[in-house]
Amino acid sequence: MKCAEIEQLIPAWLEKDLPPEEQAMVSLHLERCARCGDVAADLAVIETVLEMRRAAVPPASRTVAALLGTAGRSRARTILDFAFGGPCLAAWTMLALGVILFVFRSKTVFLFSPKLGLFERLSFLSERLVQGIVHVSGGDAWILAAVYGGLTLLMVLVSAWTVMSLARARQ
Amino acid sequence: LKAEEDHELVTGALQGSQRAFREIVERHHSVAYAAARAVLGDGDDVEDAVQNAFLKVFRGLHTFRGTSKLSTWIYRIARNEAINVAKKAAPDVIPVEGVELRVPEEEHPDARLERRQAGEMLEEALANLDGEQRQAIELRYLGDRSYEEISEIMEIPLGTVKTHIHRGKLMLRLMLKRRKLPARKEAGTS
Repeated sequence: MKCAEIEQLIPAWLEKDLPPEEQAMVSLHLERCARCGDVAADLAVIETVLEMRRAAVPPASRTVAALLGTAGRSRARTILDFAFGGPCLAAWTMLALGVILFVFRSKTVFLFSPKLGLFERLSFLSERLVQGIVHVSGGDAWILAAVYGGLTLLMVLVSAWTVMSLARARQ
Repeated sequence: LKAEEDHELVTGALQGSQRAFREIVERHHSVAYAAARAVLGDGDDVEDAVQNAFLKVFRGLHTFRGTSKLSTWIYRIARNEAINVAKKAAPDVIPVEGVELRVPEEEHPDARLERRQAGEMLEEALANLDGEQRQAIELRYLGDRSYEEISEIMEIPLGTVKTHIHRGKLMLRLMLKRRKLPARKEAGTS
């Protein structure tokens, strides 16, 4: 086989992708022919340089981040929507009202007493909140039912909102 | 199995799943990058072209019928996007029978040979390769794809892929030699 023909086989020979007989024949030729040996050595270097270029490929995560930039903001917005929008806004308002009622109508000093356990603190807090609601309603059964019904509905809405927001954020 | 997984990812992405979206980009990013790089070289606009290509992929995901592989589809979009970018940005790119060939800029060979490294010379040689040879080489080395995968992505026979890559490498060597920069010697000293 002539050098020109061998040269065409060298890339496959370097990859050991030739049939065994051809692989052996090229090996034998390369041992004897300095010119073809140079071709093989050059191609081996080119192979190495081509492989080295792979390190310069930017990570896919950069493209993902660029493409999901909008989606990322909408996820943050989802959390903000959840915290300050819709039913949660009503919940925050109710909580603020409860705190105001508590501050004005309960013995806050007692709540912060170091002798009190966590459970006692919580039960005291809820008791004062209920008392506050009763006070606002003036003891009227209809107003009480409306307030408690409203609170229950609010809790259901907030729960549903939470589940939906979490499912959206996980996607 | 991979095609089935791709199909599931497409379905997921169409349903608005960001996880599926991310997975598609991570799986096929190297193919898109290799396709864009084969057209645009190592310019700054390669990443922009890849991002635009993926934007087009997701905007057109509902039109993906699965008649070809997802990687083939993304490869085509990325390549077309890169060609569009090249047409807009570089007046020195001349389309010849659907193949983009870069016209070398005016240069002073001696001065360039002194300061250029083997990698940079190789980039120039790559830019002057035949379009299909370069696509195949970029998919093999930048895309880290097997010959079989390249055959599927480019929709050409396996033997043709090997021929493109082998002849492409021989051509690269010739071009480097013509520039009086022996690849072996230069790379050995760098």
